[in-house]
Amino acid sequence: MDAALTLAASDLVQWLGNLLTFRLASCLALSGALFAIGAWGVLARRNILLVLISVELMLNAVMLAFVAFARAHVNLAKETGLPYAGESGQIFALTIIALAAAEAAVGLAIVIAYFRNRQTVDTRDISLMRH
Amino acid sequence: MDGLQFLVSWLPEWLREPGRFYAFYAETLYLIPLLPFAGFLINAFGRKSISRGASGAVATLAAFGAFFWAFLSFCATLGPADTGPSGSEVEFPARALHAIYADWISVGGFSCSFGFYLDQLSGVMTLVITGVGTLIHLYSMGYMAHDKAFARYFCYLNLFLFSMLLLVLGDNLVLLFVGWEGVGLCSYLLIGFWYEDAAKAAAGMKAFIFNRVGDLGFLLGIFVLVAVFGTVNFVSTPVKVGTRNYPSEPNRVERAEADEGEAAPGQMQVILPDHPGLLNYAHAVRVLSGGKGLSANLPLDYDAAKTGRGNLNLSDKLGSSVFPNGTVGFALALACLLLFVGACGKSAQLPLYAWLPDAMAGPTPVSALIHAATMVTAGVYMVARLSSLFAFSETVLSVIAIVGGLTAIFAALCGLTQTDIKKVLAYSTVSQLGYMFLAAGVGAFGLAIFHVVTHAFFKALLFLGAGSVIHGMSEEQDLRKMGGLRHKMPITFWTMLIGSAALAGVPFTAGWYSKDQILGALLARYEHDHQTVFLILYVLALVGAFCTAFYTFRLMGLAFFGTSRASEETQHHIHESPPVMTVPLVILAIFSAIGGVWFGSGVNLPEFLGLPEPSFDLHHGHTLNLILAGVAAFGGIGLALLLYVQQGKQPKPETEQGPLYRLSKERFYVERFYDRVVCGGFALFAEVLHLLVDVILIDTLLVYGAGGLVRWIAGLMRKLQSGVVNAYAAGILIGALVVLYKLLHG
Repeated sequence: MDAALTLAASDLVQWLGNLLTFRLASCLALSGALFAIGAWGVLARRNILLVLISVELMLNAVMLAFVAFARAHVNLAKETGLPYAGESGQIFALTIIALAAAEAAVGLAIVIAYFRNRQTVDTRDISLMRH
Repeated sequence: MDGLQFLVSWLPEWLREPGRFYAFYAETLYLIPLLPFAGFLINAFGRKSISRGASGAVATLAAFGAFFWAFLSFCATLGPADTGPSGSEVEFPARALHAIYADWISVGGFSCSFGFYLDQLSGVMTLVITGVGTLIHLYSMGYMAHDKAFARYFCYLNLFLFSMLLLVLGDNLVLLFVGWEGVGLCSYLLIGFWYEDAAKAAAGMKAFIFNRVGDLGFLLGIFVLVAVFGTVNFVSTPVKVGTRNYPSEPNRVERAEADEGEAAPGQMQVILPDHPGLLNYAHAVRVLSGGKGLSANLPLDYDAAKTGRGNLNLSDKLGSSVFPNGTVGFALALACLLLFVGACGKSAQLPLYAWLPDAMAGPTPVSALIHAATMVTAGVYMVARLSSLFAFSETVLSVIAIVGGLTAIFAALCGLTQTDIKKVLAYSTVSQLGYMFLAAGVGAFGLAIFHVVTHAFFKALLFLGAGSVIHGMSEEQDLRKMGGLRHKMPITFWTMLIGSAALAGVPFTAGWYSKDQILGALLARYEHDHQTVFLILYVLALVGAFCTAFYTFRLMGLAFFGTSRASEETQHHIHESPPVMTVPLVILAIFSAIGGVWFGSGVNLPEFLGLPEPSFDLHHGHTLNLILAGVAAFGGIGLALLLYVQQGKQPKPETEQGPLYRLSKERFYVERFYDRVVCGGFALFAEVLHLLVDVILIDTLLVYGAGGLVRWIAGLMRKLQSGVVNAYAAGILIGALVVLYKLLHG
């Protein structure tokens, strides 16, 4: 029992360790999936609020990719002995957070203003740009 | 030339010293045009603040200062030889003053400097311009005394003097052209001086447009000369030692030594100076082809000149890609012909003469200065300046002679019946300019310049006299309303009588010396080579001389004899002009009377002026011509006196006149022809162009076409604007993907 438990615990630790080990490929896969979901949302959704949320999703996907690359640089630096060069990825991520906040604020303000005028947030009704 | 040496002996001792004399005057040549320019600036910027008297005085003093300095400089060209820069073995005879003040245009291989050149030819012109100009400035102070734009008038007049002096003194064709355009501008400004009168403003424009036609030819002529010779300078650049200008070496002509250069021993060899000018080339070709005077109608085959008679590597120097070697003669003739078109415009020759009679709309002193004495002779000056080039082509010279002869007789016939006192003189000027070109056309360039000088005296006098009459008659110009003025305006009458005698060619007046010699030259030319065209021209010129004498004394008879036909009020106001106007008349009368004597006293004009000599003896057939010309002059005078003084004949109303009279009065309908055919044709052409180019091509095809094209493309593109936000988002995404793809795989 003890041995089994010990085994199980060590397996768990092993498994958890494996699970938490940084894998760039996994991160990028997740990022790509999130981006695709966001893009699909932008294209397919008719509710403009959902479109905005999808845009946020895409931004977050990109942010994730940046952070992942930044993390990957830690390993790269360890393996090659070169100086660490992943700061820009993290800085980009921070910038995107700020940008996303601003974008959300402006976007929502437009949506609210539009709703007050037209009582709708459906993109099919927002067609003033048509020729 | 003893008289000239005497003039030189007036100069102070320190200036006559060799080595100082020449450079001093050469370097101060700029003073001559600068003084009128300063006068122009003062009058232009101070016209509101300086008084009328000061304005006139400034302008007149500027003109006189220019005359004074021109006189000194002219004496300097006649002065002793200058030993030149110290240590130099070359002796510089002071034939010409030449100074270059700045490099002006320098493009590629072409360069053009800003410099002045005063030799005997430009010196004589400068003296006439500034001398007669000073007198006319003085006269204008009286004539324009009541005009409200007094300062503006003098401002233009000084600007004119400046431009005219640039024209005459410029040492290259481009500078000459600047002056040429400058005098055209001043002529326009002064013809339309009283611009409130629409007809007068239109006359100014007419003059300007007629001159444009000529100037185009002139400009093209310069281009051709540049293409042939690669230079626009008349002579080579002066040698500059330190700050002093010395004339450059002229062409040296010598026999080749045993083994020198490319010439065989004993061959004639011309050594050009460093930067040869147009006249250097002309001289070299003339020498090498053995041409003496005008008899050599040169084909300008430089290679033949090189191998046959001497050595001059002109074809190397004239590396012209435009005109290959064999066609240079043609190009030169073309250039001269084009330059002559320019001269036709400026000097009012057929067919571009029609502006000059209309130019009489300007104030009378302007007519005297610009449209009689100076500007209109610029064409003659230009032909004389480039006479060595003109002399190469007999064809061009014949064209000049024929145009001049036809103009002389045509304008004289027109002048017979004019009733406006100034129009008579205007046609007379056109006619006399014709005589000048006639002289140039037979090769007697010296006589052409001589006639320019004497004509400047007597025609300026006649115009100023006419101005005095107009002034006294309360602005009346119609001869039919004058008469009997000789008692009321005695000074004007006597001076004008002298001027008329000179114009008619009464022996021993200035006009007789020059015109009689021109007629004589025509006859001598016919005797020389028996070309019928010169005989015809001689007869035409004789008839022209008869007409000249007739219309001149018709004018005198109508204006000064008989009884006055003016209204009571005008008669009451008739008065002799003030001294400021009569003094110039008297001075000009003296010159009209005796101005020809010095030139006529056996001075070799072409040699003195540095012009090519005619190929024939000018005095051949002199006696016959003397008799014929005398008969023509006195016949004309006698007939006019008989009709208009003794019988007191008056011009009848035009409706009662015979057809010949009407033909002359209507100037042979030439201007009507211009109006109908040339202007009408031009208007028709413009109408066609308007329809084809403006309406169809530009408006329909280009303007509406471009608009329509944009609209059509926009119609296609607007289909993309669906208004569906998601579609736009899809577009953005696809675009991003394309860019990404390009980045990764491009």
